[in-house]
Amino acid sequence: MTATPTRVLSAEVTLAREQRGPLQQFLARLLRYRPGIVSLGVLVFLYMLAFVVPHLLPYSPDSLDLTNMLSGPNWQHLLGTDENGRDVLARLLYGGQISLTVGIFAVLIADTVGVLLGAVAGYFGKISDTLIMRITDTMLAIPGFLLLLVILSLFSPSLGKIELAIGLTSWMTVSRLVRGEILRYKDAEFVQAAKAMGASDWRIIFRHLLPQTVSPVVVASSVLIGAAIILESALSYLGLGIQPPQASWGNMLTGAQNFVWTEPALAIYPGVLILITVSAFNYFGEGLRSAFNVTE
Amino acid sequence: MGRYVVSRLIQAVVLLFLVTVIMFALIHLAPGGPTAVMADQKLPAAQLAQMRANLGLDKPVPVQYGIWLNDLVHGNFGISYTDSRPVLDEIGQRLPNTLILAGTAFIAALIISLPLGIYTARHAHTFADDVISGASFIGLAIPVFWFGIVLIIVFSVALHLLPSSGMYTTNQPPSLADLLKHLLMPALVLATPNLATFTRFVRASVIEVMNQDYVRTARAKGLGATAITYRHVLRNALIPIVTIVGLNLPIVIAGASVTESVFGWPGMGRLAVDAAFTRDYPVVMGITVLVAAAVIAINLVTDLTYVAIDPRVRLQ
Amino acid sequence: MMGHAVPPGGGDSPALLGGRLSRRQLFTRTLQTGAVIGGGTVVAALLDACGGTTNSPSATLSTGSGSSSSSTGSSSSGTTTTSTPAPAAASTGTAGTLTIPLISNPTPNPITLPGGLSSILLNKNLFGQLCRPDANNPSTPTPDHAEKWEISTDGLTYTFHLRQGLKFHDGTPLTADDVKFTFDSITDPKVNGAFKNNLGPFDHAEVVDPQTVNLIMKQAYGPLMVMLDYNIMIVPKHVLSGQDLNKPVAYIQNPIASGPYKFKEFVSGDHLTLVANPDYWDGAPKIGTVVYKILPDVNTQVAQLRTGEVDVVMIEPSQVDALSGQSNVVINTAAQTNYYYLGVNNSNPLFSDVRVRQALAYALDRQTIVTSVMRDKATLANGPISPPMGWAYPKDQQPFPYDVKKAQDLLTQAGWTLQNGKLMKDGKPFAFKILLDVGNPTRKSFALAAQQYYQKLGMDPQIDSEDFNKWYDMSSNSQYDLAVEWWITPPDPDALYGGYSDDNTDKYKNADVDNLFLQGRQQSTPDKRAPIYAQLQQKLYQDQVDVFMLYPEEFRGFSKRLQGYTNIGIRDALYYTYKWTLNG
Repeated sequence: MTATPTRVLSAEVTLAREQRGPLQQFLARLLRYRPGIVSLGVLVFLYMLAFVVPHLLPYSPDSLDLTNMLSGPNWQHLLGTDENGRDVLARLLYGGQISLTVGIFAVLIADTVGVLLGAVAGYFGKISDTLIMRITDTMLAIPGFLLLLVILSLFSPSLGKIELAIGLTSWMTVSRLVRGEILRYKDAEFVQAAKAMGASDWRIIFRHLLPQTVSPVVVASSVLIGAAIILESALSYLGLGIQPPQASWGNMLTGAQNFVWTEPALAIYPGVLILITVSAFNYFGEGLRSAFNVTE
Repeated sequence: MGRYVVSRLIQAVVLLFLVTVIMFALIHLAPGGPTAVMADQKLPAAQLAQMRANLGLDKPVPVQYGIWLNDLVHGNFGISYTDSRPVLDEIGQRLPNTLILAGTAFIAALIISLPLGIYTARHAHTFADDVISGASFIGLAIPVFWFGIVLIIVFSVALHLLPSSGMYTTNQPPSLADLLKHLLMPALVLATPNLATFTRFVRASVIEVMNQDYVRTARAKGLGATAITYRHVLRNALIPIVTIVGLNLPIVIAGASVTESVFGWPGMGRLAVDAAFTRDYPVVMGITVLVAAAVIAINLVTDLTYVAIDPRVRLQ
Repeated sequence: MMGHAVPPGGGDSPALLGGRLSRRQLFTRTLQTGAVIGGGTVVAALLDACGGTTNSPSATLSTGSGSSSSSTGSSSSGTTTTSTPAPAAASTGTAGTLTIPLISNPTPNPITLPGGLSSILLNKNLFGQLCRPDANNPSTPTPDHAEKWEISTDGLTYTFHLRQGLKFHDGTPLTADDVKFTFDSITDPKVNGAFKNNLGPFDHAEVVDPQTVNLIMKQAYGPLMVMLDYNIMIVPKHVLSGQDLNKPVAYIQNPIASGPYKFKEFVSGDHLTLVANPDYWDGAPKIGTVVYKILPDVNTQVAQLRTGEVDVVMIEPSQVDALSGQSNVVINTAAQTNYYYLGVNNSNPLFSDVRVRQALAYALDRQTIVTSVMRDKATLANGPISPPMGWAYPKDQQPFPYDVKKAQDLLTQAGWTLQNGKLMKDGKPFAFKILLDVGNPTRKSFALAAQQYYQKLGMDPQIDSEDFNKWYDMSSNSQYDLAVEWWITPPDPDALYGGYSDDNTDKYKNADVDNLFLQGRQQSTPDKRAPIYAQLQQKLYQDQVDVFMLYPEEFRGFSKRLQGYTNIGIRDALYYTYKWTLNG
């Protein structure tokens, strides 16, 4: 791990090391960051809770009991019932399915679009750069929240449409980051070397340049996943989030607002779950970041 | 450089034009219209058509766009459908309020996040880093409206310490102290996620740069950690920081809408959301134009800053 | 009485798309829109007041008095004031500030009424009318700017005698010219007059002398006086003439009117301030300043009522708990001319059979909904004519009971069979959508309950919730199967004309109903009109044109320091703000 005098050597060392066992290296680095691993554990636990446990519960999340509203915790309903007499625990778990997917899919969409456009713009430059960056700028210049509102009122909000809408309105950060990173590295010696060896443009992009962008993209994505979950809750606040009867943590939080004085727990549960989930994504992203950071 | 600036300026105008076309088309495509809230019971089609005609909504959308654009070029932003006030007056009344709120939140977030980010980067993976980063994660993880309502319950309803909404106490002469009291909670709510974002990006960028060879070289030359941080690391880390900060300013302004609703802050974010819901076309378009112009200007400045601080970013 | 055999007339008729939504609905809905912005909880729905209470189920929740509604009309007084009326003598003139929250900017233009409910709540204090709802019996018109009126024997000419010495806020005398200008403006086809259709067969206004004005009708129109109560406000000709009444930009900056309060200042998105008009015809207001504070989030409004920053808040039933037990707040309810129902698209093949629509009513446990969602502050609906309409409400008619067996039988008769728990006919399931406007917790509960009750029958209902504007578009274009709706009207059954006669959004066609409506509006006295509307109510209910659910009361919270209000719908009550006082 001596400091290498030139970038060429640095790149070669990097490549050489990757060939020696990138996966083990990656895992070793990932494991080194404890909060990241703990968070991964938390996330796995949350996903299990959300996707497995509901099948074991006696209550459907959508079944109303108007004679038993806001019951408070009891043996029939461990966390009590909500304002429509629905089992809060069941809704939290099913709501978790929605909230835990909304962020991931939205960000997958955003990353795919953002990385591709950013890479093309940064690498090929010229007209493609101008064009893509102007598209990016256009998207960024339209007030995002307004755009989301208009889009979602055009198409009735549903899980898929919300994911798509959030994804398609939040890729710009990624594309600009990727472009910026690629601009920084596209003239680096290791890229020149690869070119000299006859690598195709796309090979250079995928093999040599995109790996350089993984770190910022992962950091951005971990933030974006959290942001997407939060955004869904903000859309719920404005009435354009996941629609009834389906539960999401966002709309449960919104629904609980009326009862913050009398039944604060109703708002605390989904709030805390959002908090834990988003934090865990961020910690895990941090772990990934340091794990990816091969030059550390 | 001069030619680059000129061409970017031309692009900016084209861009602004595109933004208005897209938004105008989208908002007119959205179902319903301003007459929805004006329609009376049992309107025969003819009467409804008359109502739309009275408002000039019967013309084809491209024609309406042309009229709107022509007015805009002549400095006329139109009249709001929902409250019959000139759009420019409305925005003019609201924009400063949003700037006060968002500006305070933004600057506070920046001032706190820069040292925090640098500190956590230099002490990456230490206990202090974990604590600070952990806190920033939580900041990012709090749903804004929920945070706002919790603050109101604690500080307004329970403790009677802070006013729960508005900018000034009504029926009192406006004073700075009064404003600050009103500003505290919404600014805190608005600053929190940005503080977290900025800290994380500053930290990530600084770590990224610290691992670069030239920093190692500097370290190998025996330069002190502080000197390295400020002479080499920070300067290079500024690129992504400037990007994020530049990108975030309009987002902070737009994102103020939820905060403004919760705290009854008479700002532009809320105006935008209201207008979108009521299909108040002139207001939506007015805000779009202003925000878009601001974003485009900031982008331009950001790009130019790129060129200025990192010579490796060459102009095409 | 329509029995099972007679299919509703409108089943397959391509009726024109009519606006089922009344202007009133829209105000509440506009309010609702704001409430959406404000976060899902909403004041909304409940109010429109002119529809006030003749028979006030004015229970003060906090005291649990729960006085039941006497459904007779005008004599029963709904005045249970929660606080003692302030002794006028004791008040030493004008002082204090009353703060009323609004969810959005109000706009003082009563002709086209931009700004919906927020503007209505403002206009009550700013403008004067010819007549207005009585403070205790809001379905009864009482004199305002007109001190008396006569109706010609043919019912075609209404003569109004204005009070002496009426003045606008700028000192200009208010004369018959202004009244004529007002009516000319409302009915001008170039002006999007908000209440023009309430004027029925109105023809024109004519000035007799400066103190006297005639309103001339094309045909006799019994409901006119009640309709005039309903937000028909007089505007100043000398200021407004020549301005574009669809957007009188200059006027709105400085609205001159003739009500108990004068405009002082407006800060967009923040507040609008009114000050007492010492020259008001009925004496100077007791409270010196009225501040309308713009608070889009209804939870913030409730929080501010708790902290004493606002004085009157309209709330949803579900928000009652948040305010009960607060020593500085009084929660109460008032009757209102409103009903909640599931709008049924009669032209949808699923619902064109009256037996199916009746089954929908039998299968819905409305009493449980009243008890739970409405906190017992509602009564079961037996048609669109609600108890506050007084003489017009046929109180001996009974709603269908909750009877799942009966519902199943009706569906079987209509050809539906249960297969594997699913209701099927001709190989198709009974699948439909329930249209819901987003954000209001009460209506959401209705939709969820309906969904569950109909699932129990083997139907497959989905909830389709849409933002207000799209919801309105779909609703007014009959693009729904079922829709959760409500309808606040002036307290006269003729207000329902557009909903069930002629072209309506439910696509219901029934010549008998059309006839009854026409007969009803041409009679001028309640004793002649009442039997007609009793028949009408029964026809509409037996036909289950809509699934009529319940008549809700209006929930609101008042600051305890506020005194002197009568317990009627907020909108009616606000005509009398100038008589209110503040304690401490």
